[in-house]
Amino acid sequence: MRRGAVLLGGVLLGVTSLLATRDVAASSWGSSYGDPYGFCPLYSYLPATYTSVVTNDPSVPNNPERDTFWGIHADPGYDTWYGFWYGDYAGRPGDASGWVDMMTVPYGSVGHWNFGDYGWSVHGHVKQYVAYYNWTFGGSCGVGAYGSTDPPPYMADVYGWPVVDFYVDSVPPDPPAPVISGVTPASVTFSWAPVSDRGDGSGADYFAIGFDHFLSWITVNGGPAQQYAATPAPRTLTAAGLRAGDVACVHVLAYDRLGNGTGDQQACGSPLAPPAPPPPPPPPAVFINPWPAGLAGLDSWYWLSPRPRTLTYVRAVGATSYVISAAPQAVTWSFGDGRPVGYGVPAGYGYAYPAVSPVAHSYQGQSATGYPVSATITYALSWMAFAGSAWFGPYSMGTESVTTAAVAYPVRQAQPEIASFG
Amino acid sequence: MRALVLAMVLVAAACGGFGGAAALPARQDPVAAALAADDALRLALGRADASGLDGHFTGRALLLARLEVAQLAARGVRREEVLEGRRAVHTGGSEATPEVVLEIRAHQRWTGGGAGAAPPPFAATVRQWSAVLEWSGGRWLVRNAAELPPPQWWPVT
Repeated sequence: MRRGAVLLGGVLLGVTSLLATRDVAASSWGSSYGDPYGFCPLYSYLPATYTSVVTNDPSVPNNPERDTFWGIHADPGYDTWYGFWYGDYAGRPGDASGWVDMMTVPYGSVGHWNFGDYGWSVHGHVKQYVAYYNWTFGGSCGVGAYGSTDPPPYMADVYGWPVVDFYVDSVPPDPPAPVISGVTPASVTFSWAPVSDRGDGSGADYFAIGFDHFLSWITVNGGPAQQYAATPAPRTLTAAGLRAGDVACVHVLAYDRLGNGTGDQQACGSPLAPPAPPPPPPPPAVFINPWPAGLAGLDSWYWLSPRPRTLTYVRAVGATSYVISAAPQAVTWSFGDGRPVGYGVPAGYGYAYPAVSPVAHSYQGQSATGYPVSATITYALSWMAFAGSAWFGPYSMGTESVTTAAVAYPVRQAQPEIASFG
Repeated sequence: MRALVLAMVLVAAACGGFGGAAALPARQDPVAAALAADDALRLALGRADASGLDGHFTGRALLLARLEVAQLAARGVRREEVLEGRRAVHTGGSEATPEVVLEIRAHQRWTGGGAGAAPPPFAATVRQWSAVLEWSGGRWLVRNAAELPPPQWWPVT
């Protein structure tokens, strides 16, 4: 202590000369609140000893002016310390305390004070003035120490931080809202939107330190954290390699620059399970011209009725809605006298007589009992799912074929006849 | 001549000169000098010992830093600060007197000084520290320094 005092004395000699040009007439330090009445910065080292404190703890444990209340005057043998606070220190923004008699400290002793001692806590901005009462040398910053009606001089603390601006933000950012942004039969993808920081206090004393980063990871079936990372912006996380029944969850927390964090915000999802295939579409009927019998060596025309079309089925399984589509893809005609012939669509549907049908065939020989004629329609199946708030898909689920009933088609041999002699 | 001085300084640094100072900042890197000065000030306030400031501060900044440390020493108070991260959020000034503003994230507390009171808990803090440097004696020294109140903070990109 003695060594420190000697050191301090030496330093003060230098600083006093250095700060000889300091602006003692300045009416405020730091924030926009002006100095309270009767505050006297003379003999202090303001503005060099002005400081600001930014923290996320409303009790401000790092208040530098908390163990600085010394009894430094042998005459009168004690010091009376006063404080003046502006701002949101007691639950009301824009408040002003007036000069508060904090304590009287005997010469050579030191007192302690912090906001919690008055049941106070800081939200947003608070400006603090700490001064010792001038009992013995009134008039330094105006008359008033000895019975005058003028404000008495509250002398700025010399060996501490007489003016401190506190900025407290104990409020985390807005909570992120993760969502399922993609899902397949083997994966679930999550993302979320940016969030804003929320500040503390209100009105002129509102203070927000600013958003800093997200902390995010995913879990599968409650297992260990995967893809754990801190990122300055939202990101996309995909749980891949999932099987039916697996549950993947994303966990997201948002932090501001003081480390205030939201709770763990989660979204969970499972990979999509393919729906059961729909029932086979009803087969159309086969029509042929000429009818009821064809002629060997001459084309017959074939068509299907009704014409096949894309069929749509809607199903709901739990909270997931499915749409299944069966789209005609190909038609394979079997004319009963050789290998089947494949057609694309819509050509493979043929056209009803008298239109010329692209599905045509001529037989080389007669058949009294009839050639068995049939067509097989192949449908491509696909499905989509509505989960969470979006549609996902389409995903293929293979093909499905429907064969018409066979039609016996007799074919006669054409007999040449002499119609007349010229 | 200046190049010769710089070369001598570099040799001295390579030989372990400058006591506990951090790596010698290059002429073109005042940010490194500001970081080293911040380290030195943190150490001085934590130990209430200003002996390590001379190699990093000069002029007004050195006197004010000594004053702050001396005030702490006189009251038996120390500022403990556990550094979490730093970054330069602004560089400017002139070539002769560059300015560096560091954003410093830390946990800090003030210990001692009370009547046997238990040390308070650490509190998270963010601060921006402005340092104006000058080239002196073959190194960058902080000539003026100030803790910026939030309304004067530089935006973080």
